[in-house]
Parts: sequence; structure tokens; C-alpha cells
Amino acid sequence: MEGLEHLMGGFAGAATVGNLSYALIGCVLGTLIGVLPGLGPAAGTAILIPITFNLDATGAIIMLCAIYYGAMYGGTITSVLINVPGEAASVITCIDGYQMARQGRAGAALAIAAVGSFIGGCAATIALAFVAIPLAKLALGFGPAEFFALMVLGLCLVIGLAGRNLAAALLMTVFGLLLAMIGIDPVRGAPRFTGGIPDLFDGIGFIPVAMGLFGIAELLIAVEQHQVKAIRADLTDLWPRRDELGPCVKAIVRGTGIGFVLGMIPGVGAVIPTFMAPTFMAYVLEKRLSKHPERFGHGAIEGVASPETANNAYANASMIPLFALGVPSSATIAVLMGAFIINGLTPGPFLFQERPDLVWAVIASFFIGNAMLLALNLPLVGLWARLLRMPFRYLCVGVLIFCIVGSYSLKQTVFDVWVMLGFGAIGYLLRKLEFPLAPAILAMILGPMMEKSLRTTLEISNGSFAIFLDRPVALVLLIIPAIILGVLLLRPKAFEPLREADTD
Amino acid sequence: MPTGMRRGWQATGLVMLVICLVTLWQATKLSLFDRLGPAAGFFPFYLALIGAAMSALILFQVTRTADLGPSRETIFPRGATAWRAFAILASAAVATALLEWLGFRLAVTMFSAVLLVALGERRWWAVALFAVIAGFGLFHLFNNWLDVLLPVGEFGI
Repeated sequence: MEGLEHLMGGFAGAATVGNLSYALIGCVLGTLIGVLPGLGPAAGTAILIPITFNLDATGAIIMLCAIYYGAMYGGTITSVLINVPGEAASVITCIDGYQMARQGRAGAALAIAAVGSFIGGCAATIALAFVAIPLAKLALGFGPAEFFALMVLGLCLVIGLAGRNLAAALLMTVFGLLLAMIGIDPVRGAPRFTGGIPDLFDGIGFIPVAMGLFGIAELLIAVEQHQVKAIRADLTDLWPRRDELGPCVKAIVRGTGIGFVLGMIPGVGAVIPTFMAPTFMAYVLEKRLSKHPERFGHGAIEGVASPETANNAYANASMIPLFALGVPSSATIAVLMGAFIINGLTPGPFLFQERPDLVWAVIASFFIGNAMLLALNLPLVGLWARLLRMPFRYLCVGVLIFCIVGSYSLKQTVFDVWVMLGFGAIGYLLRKLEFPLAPAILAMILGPMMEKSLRTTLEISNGSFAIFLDRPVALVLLIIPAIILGVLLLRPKAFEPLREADTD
Repeated sequence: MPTGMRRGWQATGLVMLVICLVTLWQATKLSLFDRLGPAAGFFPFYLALIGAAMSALILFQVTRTADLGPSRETIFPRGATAWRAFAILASAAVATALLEWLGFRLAVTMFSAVLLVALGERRWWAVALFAVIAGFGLFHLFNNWLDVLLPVGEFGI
């Protein structure tokens, strides 16, 4: 009940005119990002960080979170109307959503997706309010050894789910961690790996790297994709048929459960290989449980309701590891964590003690944002559909300008713009070669904290790794990733090139 | 593994191996331990060691994998698509190089106009309108409304 009381207090903080406006702007911008094919939530959130620079921390985080779940919903619109997922998580929605649109039922598909997303998002947020406090209290007892082990676990889950090639995923993790080592040593304060370049003394900025790896790389990939013509959708009839209501309710309930459980596990969302995506699992379960599985793939409304609900429940639940433990569970959440850090905040259990006003206002804003998305998107779906006809070249130039502004304005230096462009080219090459990028970005944000935790632990133990044997929680947290990596190593074809390029 | 993909993986493995070896060398120069405990080179040293091992493993595995010859679909684009990708990166690089000298407004106006034309926009008025809004409109939005300072060039614009 403690969580519920805090949540009520959070509504007071979130329901100010300013914060409501930020949530609204975030929802609109997020949906726009989701609607435009070629831009995922990670890229969108990174690109739009500069517009929050002048806001207070609560407003900035509320807006960026709204952009995130707005983008998750926006991806549905393109899946239904043009059979192109606006972001990776909406791939499954294409199957039945587009078929429904072809049968003249695009309105019903988008409406059930909106309702399911709202219910899934709200249910996951209520659960977040209940789960986050006990989890954060547990984490308050953690020392540096436990935090190090927790971050190793988070990274190993990401590596394990990154695809079939373990070496590539590990290499990308090391790449991200090495990037985080550039600059001032966080413990002793001496510069390292800077090559004498003054711009590197502050390290390589996380935001320019994220903008490059996701924004620029996604743009270059999108250049190659063909433009698809939107179908003329009938958006007047928004409601499902009476006989569809029962299956829809069940699909929404099951989708909420799947999305919430997977969202709580750090790492699941980092790469979203199709077989592990909450949306895919929800779809498969619905098809298995259906009395008429043959309808799936031909416009079954449960095939839209369940994955879309799972998608939004997952998006909201994935905030739990961030808020309670300080471990981002996906590339987009890593970008959000970067935004926290820019605002002088460190996500994790101490944030509940230091800034409870901010934490609970942000959590309460999830409800408000989800309600805004529901209220906005059904009437505005025609507008979003028209935006799909915008020529790609304008989008491309616009995104590039936002990337330039975003990377420049953080430290007022052109060096960061070069970093962004350089990592854009690197990200493009790595994406084309099917190397996973999510482990690199997660490792980059966790790197300094991992190093600090490990070195503090070893200072306490006079350099002995045996300290991990004396700390049972840390030991268990380290044994789990060891088992994961062991199982992956024993897998046949553990080192084949990847087939699943990450897009989150 | 198709030839293009194979070469790409080999090149990536090689580049990462070099980066990791250089990091290993630099980390040892920073020292791994001092009297207080692990020093600045400690964490990067072990990371680079793992990275070097993974790079070598990738090189070994990929080199051992059968070469299936050129695949029907090329990894990297060719022709007009390649030109568009090049235009995006090249124009952004030129705009970045000129950003502080010309200032945001002029650099972005020119960048937008050039890139729009390179990407196929032929209506001059649309190019001009979009470029001016992008350069001057966004400067006003960020500088005056959002308090995000953007560079003003040598000409005071």
C-alpha cells in the first residue's frame, strides 16, 4: 500500500500545467517518431533530448518517457496501415493488423491496439508502483560488490539474448565498455586513453554516440528501404464486433501479463530477437489458445490486441529495473538513463530516497501519458496516416539537423558532432554486418559504474576477488550470468553470424 | 557465409583486435595496481584482454567458415541508393566543418538545401522554404525559446 500512497502523491506532482504539457508534447512527438518508418524509439528519444535541456529534471524525464511510450504506440499505426512496423516491437502487429486494414477494418485494429496499450500500460504501472519500492529497499542493502554483480548480470542477459553469435555480442559489449573508459579515471581522477586531445578529457559523450549508432545509422538503413504506399484506410468504424469482445478481453489480460513479466527482466528488451519479443510471445500464445487458430494471419483481432497490449505493458514494466536497480533493460531505456544523468540524477534505489518527488511524479505521469495517448490517437489517426505520405527526404534532413543540434548543444562543441557522425557510420557498418548494437550502448552507460563498483570492492578486499565468495547475493548474481554464458558456449552454432539485427 | 559478409566480419574482427591490443599496451602503461588497490589501467586491461580474445575467435571462426561466394543481395547499397547514403554523410560532414565559422543558421540552411536537392527534391521554392525554416526557424526555436545555445558564425549570423 505504501506504493499506492506515493503514487497518489506523484499525481500531485505530475498534474501541474507544466508537466501535463510536457507529457502531451512527449506523447505527440513520440507517436510521430513511431509513425515515421526508419526511426525507432531509441533514436527518437536520443534525437529529442536537446528539447528538454532547459526543462526542470521532472519535466524533462516526463517528456522523454512520454516520447518512449508514444513511439511504442506510434509504431502500430504504420504496421496496420502500410504493413511496415514503425519500430521493431510492432513487427508482429503487421500480420493481422494489415489484413484487418485490407478488409476495411483499420479503425477497429487501431482502436483495439490503443485500448490494449492503455490497459497494458496502466496495469504495468500499477504493478511498478507495488514492485519498485520493495525492490529498491532490497537494493539499498547492496554494496559495491552486489552492484557490480548486478550490472554483470544485466549485461550478460543482454549478451545472451543478442543473437546467435556469442563472440560478436561479447565483443560489442567490450567495445561499449572500452568507450566508457576514455576520459578521466572515475576513481583516481587521472586522464586515460585521451591521446592528449582536450575534448576527450570529459570522455566520449553517451548522447552523441547513441544518436550516431541509432539515429544516423537507422536513417542510412532507411534510405535503402523502398517507400510503401499507405492504403486508404476506413477509420470511421472504430469498435470491434460484439463477438470479438470476449476474445479481445482475454487477449488483453494475457498480453499484459506477458509484457509485464518480460519487462521486469533486465536485458530482454535490449535486443528483441523476434522469438523473445513480448509481442511475439503474446501472439503465439493467443494463436495456441484460440479455438480458430486458422483465423490468425487473416485479420484476427486478437492478433492485434494481444501483442500491442504486451508491447505497452513491457514498455512500462521495463522502467522497474531502471528505477529500482539502476540497470537499463534496453537501448531506449539506456538513452533515458543518459537523460537522467544529464539532469544530475542517478537512477537506482537511492533515487527513491533522494528525489521521491521526481520518481513518483514520473511514475504517475505514465498513467496520464497512457490516457493522453488513448484520447489523442483515435481522433488523430487520420492525421498520422497523412503524415505517412511525407517525402522521406524531408524527414531525413530534419532528423540530421536534430542530431547536429543535440550533439552540439550538450557541451557546445563541434567535436561531439563529429563523434555523432563517426558513430553513425560505424553503426551503419555494424548493422549491415548484423553485429548487435544494443550491448554496446548498454555497456557504455554502465561502464563507469561497473568499474567504480569493482575497484571499490577490490580496494575493500585489498585486491582479492575472494570477497565475492563472502557476499552471497553478489555470488548468486555472478553465478547466474556464468551459467548463461556457459549454456550459450555449449550451444551448437554458438558462433554463427547473427540473423537478428537489433533495432531497439 | 557469403563473401561480402565474410570479409566484413574479418575486417571488423581485425580492427577490434588492433584496438584491444593498443588498449592492452596503454593499460599496462597506466599501471594495473597501486598502493590503494586497482589502478586506472586495471579494468581496461581485462576488458581489452576479453575483447582481444573475442576478436581473435571471430577471425578464426569466420576464416574457417566456408565461403559461399557472392550473395544475390549485396550487403552495402550500390548505385543511386549508395549515392543517397554518401550524400547524407558527406553533406552532414561539410555542415559540421562549417558550423562554427558560418554559424548554425547559414550552415544548416546550406546543408538542408544541398541535401534536399541531392535526395531528389526539384521544386526550388520547396527547397528554399524548407532550408530557411530549418536554418533560421530552428535557430530561433532552440536559441530563444528552449535556451539551447547554437553557434553564431564569423559574420554574426
